[in-house]
Amino acid sequence: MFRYFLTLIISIIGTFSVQVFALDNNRFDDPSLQTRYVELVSELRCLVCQNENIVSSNAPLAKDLRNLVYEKISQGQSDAEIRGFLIQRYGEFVTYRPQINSKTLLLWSAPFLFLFAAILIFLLMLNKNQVISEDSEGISHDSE
Amino acid sequence: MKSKNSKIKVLLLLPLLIFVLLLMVFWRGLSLDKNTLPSTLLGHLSPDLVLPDLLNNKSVDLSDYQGEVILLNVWATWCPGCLLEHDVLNSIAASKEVKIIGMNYKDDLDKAINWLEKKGNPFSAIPVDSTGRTAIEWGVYGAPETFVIDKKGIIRYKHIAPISMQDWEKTLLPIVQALKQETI
Repeated sequence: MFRYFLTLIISIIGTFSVQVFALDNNRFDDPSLQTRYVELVSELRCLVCQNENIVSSNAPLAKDLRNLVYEKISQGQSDAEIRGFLIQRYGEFVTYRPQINSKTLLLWSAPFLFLFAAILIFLLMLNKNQVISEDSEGISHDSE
Repeated sequence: MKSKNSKIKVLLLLPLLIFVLLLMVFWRGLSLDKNTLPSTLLGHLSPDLVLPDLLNNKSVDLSDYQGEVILLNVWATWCPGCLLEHDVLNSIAASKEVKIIGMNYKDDLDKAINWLEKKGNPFSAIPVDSTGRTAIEWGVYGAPETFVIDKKGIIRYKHIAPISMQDWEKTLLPIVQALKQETI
């Protein structure tokens, strides 16, 4: 039991340490800029190793993109401008939080569509169960 | 009563239908290549490319090639795929169908010069992108990548991964030939 607990704690610590990993020398003195930098690079996808963000990736391209984001923040560009720059070149795929537009509308609305479908099916089933139970009552009356 | 029976039969078939649909989705998923991202630059004017040339002291400006169809190939000596396609690039250059501009991407310059001396130089010009910054402008995320650029300087096609002789003959050459027919 204790061993499981220990493993759990170690793995939890592990997930936190990934976030500070590989930030290179790109540090801002201003804590608000630093927060923006970390948040931005955390939600950008590394295109070489597609299931990593560019913070945790060791790929050279991820490093280049981190430097690019750092430079652009230093130049006073907004998050939206930087994200726009990268989306223009690499497509929506580069961000883990795609913008809502005609191309991504289905992606964003899918959870609600599924929820709607589930509710619909649930209501239909409720309705049908009632019909069947009424029917079966009818049958039992008949047989009496 | 009969209509209700057939309704239930349809409902019984529903899971099978969903299963078949899922199967189709997954089957399609198997054949999708996640490593080949669509280029957002297709149909757009190519980004500026002004870089020093690997072999001389001149600078390469891609806009000088306006009026002709060109291939822009992104390569490096550290890239195994580039080794694979190098002979194909040599054949393309020998066919004189199209000029190849070979952008050297984050490479060791001595190794790059050595590589071309040994394996032949298919490139009309070799802009050197040592920082990788120009490559980012082009949405490059690996090497080799090859862009087909038309006479107006618009990116018309992007080939990701090494070009095989078959890729050249079946895909790239027809595109190049069609683009050469276009008037500015």
